[in-house]
Amino acid sequence: MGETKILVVALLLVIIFLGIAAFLLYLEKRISASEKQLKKLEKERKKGG
Amino acid sequence: MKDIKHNWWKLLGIILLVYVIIGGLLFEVPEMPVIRQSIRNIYFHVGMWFGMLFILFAGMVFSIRYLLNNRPDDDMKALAAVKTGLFFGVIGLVTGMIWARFTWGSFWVNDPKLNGAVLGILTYLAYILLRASVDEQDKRARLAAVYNVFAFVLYFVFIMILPRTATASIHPGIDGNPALATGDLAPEMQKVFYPAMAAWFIIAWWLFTLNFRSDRLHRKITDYADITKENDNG
Repeated sequence: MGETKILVVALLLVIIFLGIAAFLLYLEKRISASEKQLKKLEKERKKGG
Repeated sequence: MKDIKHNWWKLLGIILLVYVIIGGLLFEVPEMPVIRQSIRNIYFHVGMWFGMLFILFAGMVFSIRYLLNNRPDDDMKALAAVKTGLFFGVIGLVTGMIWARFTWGSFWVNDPKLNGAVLGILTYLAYILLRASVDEQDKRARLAAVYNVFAFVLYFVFIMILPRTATASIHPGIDGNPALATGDLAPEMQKVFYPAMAAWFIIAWWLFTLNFRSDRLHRKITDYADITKENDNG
């Protein structure tokens, strides 16, 4: 019984952590996309004088 | 494929921490009096504190770099490192309090190591307040950089040196470095402890980079909006 309980807790913690990690990877992607967009805008602004 | 090439170390951090959660909760640990199964918290509590020290040290290096080169990015990196370090400090404190509840019977005891940890965190909160109290950007960055160097030294004194001068402490680590000295940690625990340290270092660095990049993006967008407004008005 105790073994099963700790297994469930471990599984739950892994799921929570993987959820957080997935959110961080998503955030990373969003930041990268925004950085790219901003770079493009800056380039266009410089071209336009 | 390109994503994996750039982010392999983040994936390594995720895999290591998943291993630490599973191994930390399920692998064998030596049966010890008082501390019993709660010793498993060493993989989390100690790892978080080491992650915090690592990232705060990096923050101090960025502050020194700012003082030498005057590059705004270094100042922003120092701020991101302090914010990340504070986050790790708080979760380290919470995991420590939970551990204390089960081994010492109370969430908080009047101990030099514990009090030093809180003083250290307050020292870094003062860094955030100091930044908020100065408007001029260059002055704020210089003041904050100088303070950050002192804050790290002070933090080290609070959590590493002062507790060792105390006559008594309930917290391990008054003599030597618990868990790090050879023979201090059971071999079966070393299999999880060292990967745990690596995992927390990687996660701390990852959070720091995210923090820095989002702050830099915010600053750039604000600057860009200001320039566009000026152009529209002019």
